[in-house]
Amino acid sequence: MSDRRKAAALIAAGAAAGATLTFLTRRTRARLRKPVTQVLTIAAGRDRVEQFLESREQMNQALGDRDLFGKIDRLELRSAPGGRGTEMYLTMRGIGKYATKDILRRVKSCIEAGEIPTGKRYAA
Amino acid sequence: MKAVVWNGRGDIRVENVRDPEILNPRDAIVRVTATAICGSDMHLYNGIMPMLQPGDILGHEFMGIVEEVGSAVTNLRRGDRVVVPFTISCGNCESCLREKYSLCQNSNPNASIAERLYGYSCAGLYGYTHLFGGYSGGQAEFVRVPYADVGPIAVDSGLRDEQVLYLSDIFPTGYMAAENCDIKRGDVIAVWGCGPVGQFAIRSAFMLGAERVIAIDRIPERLQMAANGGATPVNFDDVNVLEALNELTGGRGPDSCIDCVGMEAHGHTPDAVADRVKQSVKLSFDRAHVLRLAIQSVGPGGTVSIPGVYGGFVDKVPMGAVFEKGLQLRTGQTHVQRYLRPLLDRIRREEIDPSFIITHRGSLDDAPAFYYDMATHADAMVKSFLVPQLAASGERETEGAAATLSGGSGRTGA
Repeated sequence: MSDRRKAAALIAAGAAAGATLTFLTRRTRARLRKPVTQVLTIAAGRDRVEQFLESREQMNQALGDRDLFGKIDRLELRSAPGGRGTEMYLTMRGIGKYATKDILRRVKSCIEAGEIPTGKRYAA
Repeated sequence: MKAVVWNGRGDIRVENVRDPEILNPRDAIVRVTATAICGSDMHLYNGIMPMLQPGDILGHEFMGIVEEVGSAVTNLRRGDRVVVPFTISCGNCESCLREKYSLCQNSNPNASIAERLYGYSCAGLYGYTHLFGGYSGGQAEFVRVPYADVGPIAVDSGLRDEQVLYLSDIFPTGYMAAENCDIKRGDVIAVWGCGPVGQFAIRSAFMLGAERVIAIDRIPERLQMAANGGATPVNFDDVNVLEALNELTGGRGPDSCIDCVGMEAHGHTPDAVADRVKQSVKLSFDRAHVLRLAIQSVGPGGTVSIPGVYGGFVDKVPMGAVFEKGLQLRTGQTHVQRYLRPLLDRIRREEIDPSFIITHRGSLDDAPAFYYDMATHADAMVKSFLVPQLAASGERETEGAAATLSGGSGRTGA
């Protein structure tokens, strides 16, 4: 292959990679901008869940970051069937579904177990 | 403190690490007096389970003395002697309230990762990858025990560590595997894998009323140990297992089969060879040869109980046999907390002495060699019993201690 052709191939490959990267970045950003709703059932009565949500201090602990308060789009509570607790629907903007679910998990842990679990290691 | 640390595939070292500390109000710090290497630790040693990181402390079978408790722990005090279940459970979520402790919804801080792989997460586990929370394990001098007010069980001073240590995992695991078979008087049970869990599954099946237990393995010492427990040994290197089971059950097939092998099954058939190739090139976590055999050989309407660990996606599972024979598959991590008290009572009543399983004793310093022995089945290793403080106190080097340990780190005989 001549040097000219090699250079052309490299430029084409670089352009394709750049276009793909731009597309993926834009898509990810667009996805993050969209509100995402996640749900978890908390084994506690609606009163207890509401009491927790109303406490700024406890919610700070569950959110882990005060800035996240502003990203809450909607929060809805429903009674779970069979007396299994309270279903908590949380809609958040700009953080994606996994981070939204993690917030719900932290709220659930705080209410049910009284603390947020950590596997923080103490190895050297 | 000293701890057994994973540094890569087949690379286990004893290293000095930071002491654990109380991080949450329901934590306790336990000084480990006895620990062991589990058969499922081999999946970590062999680098098959994903999400283990160099520097992680291993070990999920341990017991010890409570050194410190968090502000919310009211049922334990400094100085209490406890056995700690390998499953970490909060005791408050719906799963825990239904006594399905290994499905605790709160104890795995990395639940979102497990959820992506399995749909939903299970409980956190000690020393068993970051998929299950990244908790540091108990093959160490000290360990942090989360939700200490729910998991650990206090044990009487009348029982030796050797008798109660295995309540932390293998005894309840073998027992739950047998219980999952819904054994009725006269049942015949086939158990694949005569490692530690298999040995307890055999004895538990008899305790629950089985008439006959058929033990399948290829390692003579393990088959002998199974025979000592009353099982009929079958060496799969010597016979066709399907034919042997058919013959031993009068053509009915076993009423239930227990797969105590899990993801690292050995075999000579084409499916076993294909599994090995796929696992070696990381196309699959699991070598499910035993699972297929168990499904194929169990009698109509039977149960296949699976205490052996599987991690990913298994192919070539004979679902036709599951459907046409109307089988039940029952599996899962053990709900250890559910079994602690009843099994402790059985030990107290001398219905079983779990120390029969111990073949090797030593200190933490012996762990790398024991891992190697266990992975290669060298030196007739079945089960280890490690005393972390031993080397530190120099006890192992003394003649008296060597006598106590029947040869220090050496084998004590099955």
